[in-house]
Amino acid sequence: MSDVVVFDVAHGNCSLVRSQSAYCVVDAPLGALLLNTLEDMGISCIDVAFISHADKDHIAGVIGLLSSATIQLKKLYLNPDSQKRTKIWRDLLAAVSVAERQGSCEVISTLTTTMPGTVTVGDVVIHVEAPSASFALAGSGSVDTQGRHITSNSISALLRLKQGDRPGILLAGDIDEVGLDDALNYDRDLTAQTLVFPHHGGLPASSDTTAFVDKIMSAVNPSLVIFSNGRGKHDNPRPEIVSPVARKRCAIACTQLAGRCSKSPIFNLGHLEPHRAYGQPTGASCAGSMTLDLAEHGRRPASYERAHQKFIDDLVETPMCRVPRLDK
Amino acid sequence: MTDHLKFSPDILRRLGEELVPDIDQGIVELVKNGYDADATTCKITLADPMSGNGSIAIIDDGIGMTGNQIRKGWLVIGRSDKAKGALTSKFKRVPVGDKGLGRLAALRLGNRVILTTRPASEPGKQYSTSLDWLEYEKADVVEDVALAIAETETDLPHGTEIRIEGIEARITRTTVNKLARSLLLLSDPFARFDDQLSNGRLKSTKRSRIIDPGFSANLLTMEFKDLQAKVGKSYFSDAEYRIQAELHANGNATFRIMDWKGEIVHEAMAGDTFHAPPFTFDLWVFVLSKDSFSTRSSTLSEVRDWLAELGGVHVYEDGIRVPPYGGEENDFLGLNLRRVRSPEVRPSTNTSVGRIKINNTDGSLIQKTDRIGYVENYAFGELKRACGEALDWAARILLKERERKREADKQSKKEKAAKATSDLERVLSKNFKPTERKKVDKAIQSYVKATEKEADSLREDLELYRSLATAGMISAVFAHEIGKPLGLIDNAIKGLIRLVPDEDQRKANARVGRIQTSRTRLSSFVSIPLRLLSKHKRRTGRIDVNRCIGSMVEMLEPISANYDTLITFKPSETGLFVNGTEALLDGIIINLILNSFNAFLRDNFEQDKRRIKIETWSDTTNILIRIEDNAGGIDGVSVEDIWLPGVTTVADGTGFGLTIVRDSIKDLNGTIRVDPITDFGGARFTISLRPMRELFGR
Amino acid sequence: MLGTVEFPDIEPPRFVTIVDDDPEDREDLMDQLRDHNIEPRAVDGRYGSDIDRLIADVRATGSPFVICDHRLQIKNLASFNGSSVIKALGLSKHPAMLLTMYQSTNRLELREARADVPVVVSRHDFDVSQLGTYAEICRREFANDPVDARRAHRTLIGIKGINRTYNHTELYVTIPNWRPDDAIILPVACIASDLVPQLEVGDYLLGDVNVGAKEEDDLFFKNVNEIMKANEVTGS
Repeated sequence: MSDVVVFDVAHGNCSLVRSQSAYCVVDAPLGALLLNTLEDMGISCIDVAFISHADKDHIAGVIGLLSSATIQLKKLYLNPDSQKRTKIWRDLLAAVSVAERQGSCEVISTLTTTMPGTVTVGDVVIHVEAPSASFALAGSGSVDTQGRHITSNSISALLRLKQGDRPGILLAGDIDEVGLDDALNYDRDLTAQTLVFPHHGGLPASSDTTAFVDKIMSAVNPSLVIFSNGRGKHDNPRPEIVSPVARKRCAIACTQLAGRCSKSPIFNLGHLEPHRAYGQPTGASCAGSMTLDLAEHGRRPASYERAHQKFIDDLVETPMCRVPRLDK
Repeated sequence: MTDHLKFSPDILRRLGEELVPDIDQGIVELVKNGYDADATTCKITLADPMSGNGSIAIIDDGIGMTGNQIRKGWLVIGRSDKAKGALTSKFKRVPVGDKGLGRLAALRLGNRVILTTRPASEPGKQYSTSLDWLEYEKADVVEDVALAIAETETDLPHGTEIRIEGIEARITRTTVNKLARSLLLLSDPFARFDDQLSNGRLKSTKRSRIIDPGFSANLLTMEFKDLQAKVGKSYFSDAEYRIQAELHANGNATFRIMDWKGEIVHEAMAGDTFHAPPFTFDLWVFVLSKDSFSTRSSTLSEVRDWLAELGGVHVYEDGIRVPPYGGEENDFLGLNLRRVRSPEVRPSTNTSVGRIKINNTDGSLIQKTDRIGYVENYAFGELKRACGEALDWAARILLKERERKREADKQSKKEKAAKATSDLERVLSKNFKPTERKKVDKAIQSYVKATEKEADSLREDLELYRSLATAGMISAVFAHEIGKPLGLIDNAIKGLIRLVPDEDQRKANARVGRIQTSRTRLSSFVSIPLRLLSKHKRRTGRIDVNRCIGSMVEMLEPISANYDTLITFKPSETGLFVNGTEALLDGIIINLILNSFNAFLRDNFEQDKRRIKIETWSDTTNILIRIEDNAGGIDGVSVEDIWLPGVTTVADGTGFGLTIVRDSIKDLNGTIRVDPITDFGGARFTISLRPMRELFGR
Repeated sequence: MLGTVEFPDIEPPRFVTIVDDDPEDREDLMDQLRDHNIEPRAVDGRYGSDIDRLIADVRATGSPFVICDHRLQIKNLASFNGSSVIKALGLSKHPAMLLTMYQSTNRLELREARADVPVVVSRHDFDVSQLGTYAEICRREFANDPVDARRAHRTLIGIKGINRTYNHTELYVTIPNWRPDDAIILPVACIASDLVPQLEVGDYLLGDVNVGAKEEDDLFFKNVNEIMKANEVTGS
């Protein structure tokens, strides 16, 4: 059995890969949700963790993981970001120092298509599809071959999770068009059954939104797109992103209920999975935390997916994920 | 036969007395008539002013009156024989005197008036007549009293003398002083200095006329001489600066700031136009500090006296003063009010003297019938507005200047410090061996560090004081606002009670009672900052110590009840008075009481019967106030340190209460002693203050 | 704290004992309880520093739940504060909650005690219908299975500012995986005393903190006993 839990962590990203008693964490924002969940699952050791890029909403929880006394982290992959002189980056360094002092964690400061290239977690192989080594070396603050600015988001790692030949899952971090082009220039295979959409469904900084959506959708060709968003923060996911995605006739699931979809929170528990979801106590969850089955089709169990769709149909006033009737 | 409307003599008395209330103002009105008669001097003599049967004579060297002029003019009450705007024949003066009721009032100061006048037009002739007011009292109607105008030969020069006899009211020293002042200020004393002050620039605004030798009124008494000496002396050159506003005929105004020499330092056109007759406003501003007078020939006290005599901003319409502007307590331009907003660069009536010279040829400014000030019409409002704008403009300029100066000071201090350091370096390297040098350097370093630390802590104190002051002000503002919601609660309770069905009234009453108790508590709490800030309490003066403490204890009653604490106050049997402000004493008492409350609330301190005891008494030399509690005394901090700012044993306390107590007592010239623990069971503070009995105490 | 969602159907206790020095406040609470058909019981008297006698009196009321006011000294009910009462009751696993005005003077005091006080509610937010939830939070805590907001995790604590005054030290700290941008005051009493003198801005401490807490006032600190000096953090 291998699966991935994409947690409802409000604004931010956090995924847990479980396979044959091996565990992997990709990103974690602030709060105790991941730590509490791992403790309750009886997980005392994380074999590997990834930080896709140097943003607070992806790092803060990993800091907690590094300092945790109950959960050991064995290996951490991340790209250094020389541009990041932020407080949280220094906090991360302190946490790494703590882990190193305890001799418990191996920190590998490259996360590119060549190094480590692939990482195995139980039966699951994690393919690093971006950034390329040269792109990562150029780093944020520089420009790409077309003269476009490379930002922290551009060097987000694209991680494709697969078990054998089965359709996989693509975790896209906060990648933008510049970073995506880096992967496409190297002819990386990005196809996946499920795409955790970059940047929480927020607008990419400097490109044509529709073109970006088209590009990533045709490269990944997913049947399910997940937005890991926070209700009431940054107004994500944006309708400019959601509607072209919806028009591709693929399923959409947001961890939280966007303000545009429902003005008031909805306190309805029936359709949520038993995992912790940050929005649950405040009625902010839509799909909440989601389990994706890597051993099967790479999507959610059908019963949860149906329950979620019914929840949207019955209770959500103006769901963005529904293509307007005129289009149908 | 033809009938006439006739007047009872009563009307004479009433009209006059009600229009001009004061003797001095009445006499000034008569003197003004002298001015209108183109006199150059006017002498006023007082005889037996305190006897209850005194007399006054007003003698001028004007053009006098002919018999006909007396008959047709002087004896006709209420007629002005010149149309407004017509100028006097000889010096082309604008008439300022009152021919009407004001003059009547002046003439009625005594029982009898004797007029003697020698017209310039009929040399060698003298006319005289007298008004015996007692005769009028007897008569049925005014017209019944017959008057005779006597004509005699004389070789005296032209002029007029009015003698008022049988003045029953006692003319006190105060009145004489006031009269002297009014007479001195009547003809613009500033004018004498115009030349030296304005470099002749103002002359262009004067109309051309036969040269007017001017007009002066002299009161022939000692008081007047003293005063004349004071007022007559010019201290204008001791002014720090002079603010000037010149309103031109087209409504444009020029604002200026000049230095003591009269040189223009700043000049600007007003951004607005003003609809008032042309005028020039000058305000000489003095800095009354020892520093600024240390290098001058005149003394600080001289200038201060002079300013006190001269007063505020005087208004001269065509050279003659218009009272009450610039008189005692008159601040018609609101100098003191403006100063409240930014005291540093604003003059007050005590530190400035000013003059507004008006050319009221178009008559848009109208003097009131009682001759005290102008009617508050549009033109006068515009005049005041223009002066106000000039003051604001000047304040802005001066504020900027001062900031620039401060910056420069800072810079020069830095430079000085740098120079001092290099001087020190030179001296040290000359006088010390390298081995000793290290020790000296270290000592200097530690001294510098300590000094810097002290400055830092002072800055921190200041910040805290500021934030506390802000908190205090805000709490007072909201204390005012809280009245409304409190009233609303009252009404809501009454309304609710009516809605409750009878059978539930008892239950409801219990809860309503609680709301009411809470409401009372709330309003008594919020009244405290209001009381502490109430305005009258900031003035310095005599404080009744017992009354002050008594009402403080009473005010704190709800709070002491809240803290389950009994405050007893045992005042001395006799009254105790100190000089200071009640706010200071309030601050001392309330801080000491709060200090006790906090001591009772310390964790793990037990006191079943919390008590605070206040006593006052006086020994032979001092007033003593003792405040003690049974809250376990001072611990956790050494007794010397309790006065230091920021020292507190209460979590999140500001540590300022006792610092304020110490500083306030210093301000009251008193001392405070503390016993950390007494038999009563707590700390005891004994305050000793200087009594005020030699001045006020009875 | 926690919304109704997490504990949807928890019956409030049938009897509740109130410890409050202010008779008005006490009566008000009792009326609120009666309105929800909960029988209020009160403890009143003068206890001085005799906390054992107060605890005995509270237990004698036989209520399964206790509401205790924080400041008991004002009207001289006791010379200790309410958090000591909650702590003492907690030793024998007696569910109890603290009511407070959250005045600035006692916020830090509460932070020091917060590790031993499972439920603190401000008087303004107090809601009788939540009593069941409050009791459940206590029960889970005593069963060593605290609710998420009360679960401690070993965490970095960054020292952002130190204010040493005459007789005490104030620390401004951030907790990177709670809210990395909000500096809060960490009472020195929460830190192993040997660490305090060597603290400098830029250092990190390690301690057990309930990083799942929603509000600053719900944070507690335990076992803050390791230090990482600023110069040990590479790249700084």
